[in-house]
Amino acid sequence: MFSFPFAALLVAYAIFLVIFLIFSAANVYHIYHTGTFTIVAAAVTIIVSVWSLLVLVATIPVIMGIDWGTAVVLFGPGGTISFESYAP
Amino acid sequence: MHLNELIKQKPYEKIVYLIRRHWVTYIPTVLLFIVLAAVPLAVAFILNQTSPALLTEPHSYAFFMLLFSVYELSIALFFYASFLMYYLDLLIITNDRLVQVQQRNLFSRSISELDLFKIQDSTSEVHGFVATIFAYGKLSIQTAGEQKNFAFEAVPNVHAVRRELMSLAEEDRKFHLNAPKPIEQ
Repeated sequence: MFSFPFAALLVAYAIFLVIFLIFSAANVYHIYHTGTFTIVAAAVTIIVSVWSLLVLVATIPVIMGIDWGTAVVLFGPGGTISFESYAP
Repeated sequence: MHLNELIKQKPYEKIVYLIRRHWVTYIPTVLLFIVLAAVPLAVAFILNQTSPALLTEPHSYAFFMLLFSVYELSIALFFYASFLMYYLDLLIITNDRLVQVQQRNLFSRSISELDLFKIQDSTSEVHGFVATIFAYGKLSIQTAGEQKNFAFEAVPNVHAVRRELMSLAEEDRKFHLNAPKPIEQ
């Protein structure tokens, strides 16, 4: 049996979001810096931004509605995955 | 616009062509990313059919939503980066020189220049059904001396560009022949 805090997933997700933001900013900087920020580039930038925002808007309510103070138990009885509360 | 970040434009120099690969060549990449972005929908459908409990239990649902979010944001990021590779690959033809900008990845770019008067010969090739319909092809430029040859793929209206390039090269050659020579001491 192996268990880890469910909140670890949230931390990993936060780290991913930081990396995502850094690379997105680097991309936009490239387009601006090289003078190729035209209507086409602006349109693609808007499409990608809206796409990313929609994904975040769909994810955030799910994150907010979860009790992250639980443990994920791997290979528990019967070899299953279960979620157990740390609370006594 | 800061094209001067890519090429330091001389006072008398004007840009005649700013060429990117034909947009048709980017359509397969767009389609690939659309398919990749739709994969989670297929996975959700399969999970809903095989083990619906995974999508109803709040914690496992949250886990799948995080996976979905990471996957979709990664796809969006890779799509934007691939657009950048396409959009920043440039062939700039001025009345004085030819500049080829190759964006290999996000942090790797090469810029090659060639004076127009050094162009010896150029070839335009159009191969294939789609290339013929949309009139794009490969432009190859042979240079004098030990300078490397240039090649640019999927140039729109490639034959017209080659003709214009050769005419600009001829004008530049005349200009350099007539230019006053430095006085030898």
